[in-house]
Order: sequence, then structure tokens, then C-alpha cells
Amino acid sequence: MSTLVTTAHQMRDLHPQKHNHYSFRDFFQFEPTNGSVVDWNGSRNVFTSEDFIVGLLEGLEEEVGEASAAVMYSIGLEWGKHDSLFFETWFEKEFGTSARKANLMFLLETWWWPFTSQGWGRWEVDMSDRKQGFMFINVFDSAVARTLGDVGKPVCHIYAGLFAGFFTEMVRKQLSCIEIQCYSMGETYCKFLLGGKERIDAAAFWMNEGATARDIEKRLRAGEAVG
Amino acid sequence: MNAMTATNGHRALLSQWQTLTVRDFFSQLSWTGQPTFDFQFEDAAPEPLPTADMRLSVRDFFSRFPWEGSPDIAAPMAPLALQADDLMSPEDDLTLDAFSDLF
Repeated sequence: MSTLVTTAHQMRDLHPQKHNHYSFRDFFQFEPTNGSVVDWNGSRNVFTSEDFIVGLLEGLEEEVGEASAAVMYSIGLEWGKHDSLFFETWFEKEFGTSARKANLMFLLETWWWPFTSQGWGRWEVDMSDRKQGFMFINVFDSAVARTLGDVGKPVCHIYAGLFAGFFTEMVRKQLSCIEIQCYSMGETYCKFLLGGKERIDAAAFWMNEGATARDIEKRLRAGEAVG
Repeated sequence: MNAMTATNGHRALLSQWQTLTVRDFFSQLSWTGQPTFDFQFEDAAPEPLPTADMRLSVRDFFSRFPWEGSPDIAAPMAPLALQADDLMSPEDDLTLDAFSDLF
């Protein structure tokens, strides 16, 4: 988990052009004197245990019930929006070019690498349906799902919000995201659908009706919408 | 690892005992200290020892493996020629602005 408090990272200052800096030792700078951890991009990080994640989610659910999913999504959404601005800054500084001129897949991989180092899991972006106005993101080893285990429903709402917020800012269009398959449903990885609000609302409706991720993919590719 | 079943790319060392049923295999083991089941390496040693069975010492057992033999593996494939389409995926020339237009 990280905040946007920027602080100097000594190794980055020594090697500003080093791009392969995502190992644990390189990426994090531990400052025992003031009890802080700063990552390569100057963002302050906090290490948490699985107990913390369980406590956060269960505590929230106890407080607000089913709305906890929406709360976590909103947290992710704001985080993603902020992070897109933060990312554009460090991307330009590290690579000497604007994020908007960079190759898209390179840009996206570069964005997610810090998250991988921080323990949020690996990802895979599936752009094959981009011309229809939606795309899929697969997350392997989601920190939230891995922690909660098989609870029979999607739990990675903060990830969905994060993707929605980040892509909304980067694409400059209002986008939404929904997790249509989750490790916590007994699947092997988490799958997110990103697109315009109408499509995501349709997917949410189909999910409530019992549709699987595969069903949703088929219906979207067939151009279906909520009737 | 069971050394008797580890072929590791080599030709099979044994055949007779490997085809036995579980019941037959275990029924022929020397449960009472009186060996009744002999097995021999068919290909490993130049001349299979007449006494080669489960009473072999570890050293003798493993010394009969063809450690330096030529592995029986498939011939290497010629490198596949890359097509231009393989090198360029549709995303390769996509920028953020072009991507934005898709939504």
C-alpha cells in the first residue's frame, strides 16, 4: 500500500537511468531512523500483514454491510486517479518522454511493475477486444483474494476501482471496471472487465443473474446489452 | 526418487518388473529375508551381473547406470522462421491517444 508522500530514494539518485530496479532490495529504501519505507519513485510504502487485510475488509463489512464493496471500489477509484498523475510524472522523468507518446503496452507494463514489487500480484492485459470498446485484465496472486481465500464471491473491489480510476485518467474518458472472476470464487486467477459504464453495468446485471466470466465474455463479444 | 523408474531421457533400464501388477511386485519382494525376485538391468551394464537384484549395495546399484551414455532424445528442431506478423502484434504501435479513441 502506498501514499503519495514523495521522498528521496538514494539509489535512484545514484542511478537515475536504471530501469530494472524492481527487486526487493532495489525498489524499497528502508529508513529505520524515522521508521519509513520509500520506494524507487519516492512514494511512501506501508507493509501490512494478511491479518490487516482481513481486519480491514471484515471490519468495513461489519460497519456498512454489502456497501463495503462499493466503498473499497471508491477507495481504489480515487487511488487510481491519483496514481495516474503520479505515474505520468515519474514515467516522464525516468524515460525522458511523455506517457502519451509511449507505446501503450510498454506504458502499461511500466505502470504495473511497482505494484508487482509491492505485492499486489502480477497482471496480464488482454487487449484483443479493444476495438469493441472493452478489455480484460487478469491478475494473478491478488493480495486481497489470496488473503481471504475461497469465500465464493469476488473480493478484489479495490483492484477494480484502481483500474477504473487509472484508465479513466489516462484515457480521459469515464470508464468503469468490474471483477467477473475471482480467485476467491475458486478460480485460479482474477479477471476484470474494463469499459464504459453501460457495459460494466450490463456485466454486473448478468453476474447477478448467475452468468460466469465466460458467459459475460460471449455476450459482450456478441454485442449484447442489458435488455 | 526411485532409481528404478528414473529414465531421465534414457532408454528404459528395466522392463520385466515394471510390467508387474502391484500385488505381484510386492509378493515377490524378500519380506522374510529370503530373496525370491531377481531383476536385471537389460541395457545398463555390458554384462548384467547374475546376482543383480535388490540385495545390491547402493554403490553397486548406482554404478550400473549408464551415466555417461548418450541420451535417447529427439533430434533438435531447426529454428522456425519468424514471420513479420509474429514480430508485430496489433498493440505494438498503439499509443495512449489511439487507445483512448477506442472507448
